Amino acid sequence: MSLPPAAPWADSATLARLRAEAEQAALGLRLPLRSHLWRGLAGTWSGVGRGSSVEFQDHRPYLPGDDPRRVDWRAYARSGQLNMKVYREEVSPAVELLLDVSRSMRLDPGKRERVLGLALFALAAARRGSSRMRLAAVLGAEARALETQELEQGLLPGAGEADGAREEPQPHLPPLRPGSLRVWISDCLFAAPPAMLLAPLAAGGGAAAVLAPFTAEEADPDWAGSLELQDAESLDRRLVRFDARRREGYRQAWSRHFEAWRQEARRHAVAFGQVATAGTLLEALRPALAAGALEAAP
Amino acid sequence: MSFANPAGAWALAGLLAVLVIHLLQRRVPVRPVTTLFLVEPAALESLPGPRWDRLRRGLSLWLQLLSVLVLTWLLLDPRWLAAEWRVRTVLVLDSTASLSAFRERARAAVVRRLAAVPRERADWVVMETAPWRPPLYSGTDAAAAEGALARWSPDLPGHDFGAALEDARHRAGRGGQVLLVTDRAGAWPAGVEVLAVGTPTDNVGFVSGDAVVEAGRARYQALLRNHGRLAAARSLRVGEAAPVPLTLKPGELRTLSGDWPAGAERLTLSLDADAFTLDDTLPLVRPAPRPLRVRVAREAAALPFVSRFLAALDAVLLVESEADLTITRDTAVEGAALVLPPAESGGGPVREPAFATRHPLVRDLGWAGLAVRKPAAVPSQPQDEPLVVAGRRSLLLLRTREGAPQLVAGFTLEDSNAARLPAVLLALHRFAESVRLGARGREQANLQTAQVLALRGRVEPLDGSAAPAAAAGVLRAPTRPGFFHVRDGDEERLLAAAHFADAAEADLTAASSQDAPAPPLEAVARQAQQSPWTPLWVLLLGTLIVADGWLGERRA
Repeated sequence: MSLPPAAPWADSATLARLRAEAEQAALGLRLPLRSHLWRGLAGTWSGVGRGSSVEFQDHRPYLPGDDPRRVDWRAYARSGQLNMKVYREEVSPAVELLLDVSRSMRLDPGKRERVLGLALFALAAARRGSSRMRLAAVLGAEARALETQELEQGLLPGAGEADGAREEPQPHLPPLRPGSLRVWISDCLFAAPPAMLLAPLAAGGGAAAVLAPFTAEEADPDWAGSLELQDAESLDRRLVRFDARRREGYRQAWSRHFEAWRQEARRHAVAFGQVATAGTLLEALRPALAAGALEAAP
Repeated sequence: MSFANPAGAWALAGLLAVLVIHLLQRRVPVRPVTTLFLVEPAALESLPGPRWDRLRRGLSLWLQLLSVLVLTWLLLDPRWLAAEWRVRTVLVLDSTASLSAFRERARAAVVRRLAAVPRERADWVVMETAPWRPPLYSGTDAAAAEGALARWSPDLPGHDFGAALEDARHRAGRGGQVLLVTDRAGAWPAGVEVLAVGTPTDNVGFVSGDAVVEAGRARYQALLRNHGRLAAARSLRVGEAAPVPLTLKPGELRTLSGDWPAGAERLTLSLDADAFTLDDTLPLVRPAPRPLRVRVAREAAALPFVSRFLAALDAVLLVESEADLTITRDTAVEGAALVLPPAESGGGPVREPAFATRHPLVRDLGWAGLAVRKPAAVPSQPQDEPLVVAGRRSLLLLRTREGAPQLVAGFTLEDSNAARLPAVLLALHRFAESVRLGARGREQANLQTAQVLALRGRVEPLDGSAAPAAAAGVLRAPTRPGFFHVRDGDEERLLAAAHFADAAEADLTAASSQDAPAPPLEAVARQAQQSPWTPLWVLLLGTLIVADGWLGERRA
């Protein structure tokens, strides 16, 4: 299935509000960049190599030809020996923002706004961290690179499309840059094993974080009586009769599903945080902060 | 095109029922969800109780509506008429004697029915209810069918019409019709149209009669009955004597008797003719059994039983040769014989109880009391037929020697109680009478009309009328009262008088009329032209039902 053309996911007033919220959240929260040693262009993050960074790392003996400005004169005064200071290399980390634009992400209006808000927050946080960002929209096996301007204007694939076509529930990640920070915004509402997505997300020596938006109705629906449920993506329909016992069974299935995601994320060293659609963006991101999918700004 | 079952159109009400069912079903709300994969499989079930789910409008609804339409079409049973259609009409004429009182009415009604039918479209079969009488006519000529009515002779005693009606339905086929002409309306088998031409009619007639000879003196006896609802006056003639007036009350049964005219071999009693003439005449003959020529062998003559036995038989002539029946103790005797062998040497008493077979000579007789102290010496032969057995011993058997029957006793009269047992005497008497049937000589007897005769030969009515045809080799007395011979070759075997004796047929008070208008012949023809596409419609209906069921299963 090919990605539909980009369309506004929110009106201008809502977009302005979401951008303001994202900026506000980006003041206090950052993408999890400090927890990893990065390789990349020169930037403001510590890299794995030794470079001309202001962050002192170690000493070594003076060798003819070394820059005399890096001689540790205090150590010389104590020991009488010339030693050189060694600093971590500064790098500019690559951030890949992968946005799941399947129908489940945009079905509920509140969820759609939260998804857009998360993407705008990720963009704002990446900019504050002087990170290079690549943005891609993912729908099933298809992925398309997006311009940041499109995201800033709230233009993402899928919105406004008539919901008549089947979509593949499980997304497939595009090739990712080695050593990048992968931020995957997806509700993870598909039956495939989490490893099928977390393994490629974590591969390549980078770091990964998953921000999973969800609605209260998805976690604890008020279904009762006879309903005909239609899956938003596969469009399958089923006649169902719900009572209290069945609702409790559903809630337990929901909890098991995301517990499996958290366990698999830990196994692959991926930070996993669920983000509710209720409340402000900053309030909704606190669980993700606690889960390590975000960091507090210094 | 027409419909054989217009009432099938009521099935169209099923369309309304299907639509109402679909409309009354409450729509189950459709909820788009993102977590259907988290819903337990056990939660997916069909919905019980009165809370129906509305079935999806679409294919299921149309399948059900189409099913109703196809079912309606099948129930209507459409019929098309072939270009060259004909209808076979089978006229079944009631041959019982009561119709003789309404014969002309029946003939007129049949002629009217024949005239109402387009002659170029009808085939005709005219037959009687007596199954042993061949059809009177079969063909396409209505005039010939009408002419066949003249050969119709309703003069038989009451009999079952079932076989004749079944034959008529078979002859009519699916596209034909069966018309029964009788004198009583009422319930008749389905598929048989009834033309009843009777009216309640009073009748007085003879219901039975006979002549008896006692001590050489002959007398006649007759029963006369007034079957009517009113008192009836008649004149009775006995032979050549002057008529005697009689008045009988309604339903009265009167016995008549008198001396047989001296020297007369035959006598006729008669009444004034009325609507039913078959019972107005009572012909009688002076009865005389066929003589039985009996030779008693010397060794058997000494048995006291033999003389008692012969005294119990009528018309016995003792002869020394050319006997019809020989009574002997010799098992090697030739010809028809009653064999009473001597005792078996060294034989002991027969302890097992005696049982009789179902042979007409011994059935319905009490043989359990037969006690045999010494069994008779009876050499067995392969074709012997045991009649009475005790254990594995035959106490009475039937042997056939060169075509002549022989009744052989397995007991001795001296060493058993056989001579005192009524069953033995009766069995021997039956045997003697059966021999008498084949004996030479002439018998004189009073019989009933159409009575089966246990004789071979040919029936010759004395009045010169046509003799009844022997069906399947069975001789019958004439169907009309009168005198007749039975001759076997040149030998006269029987001189008899046949009289009508079926009182039920003589009672015409219950006769009634029924004449429903004949259905248009074209309508009858259409009934036969069943649509050749019916099996395909049935197949289509089945396919629609299965498809709808599969659709429902798939949705569930």
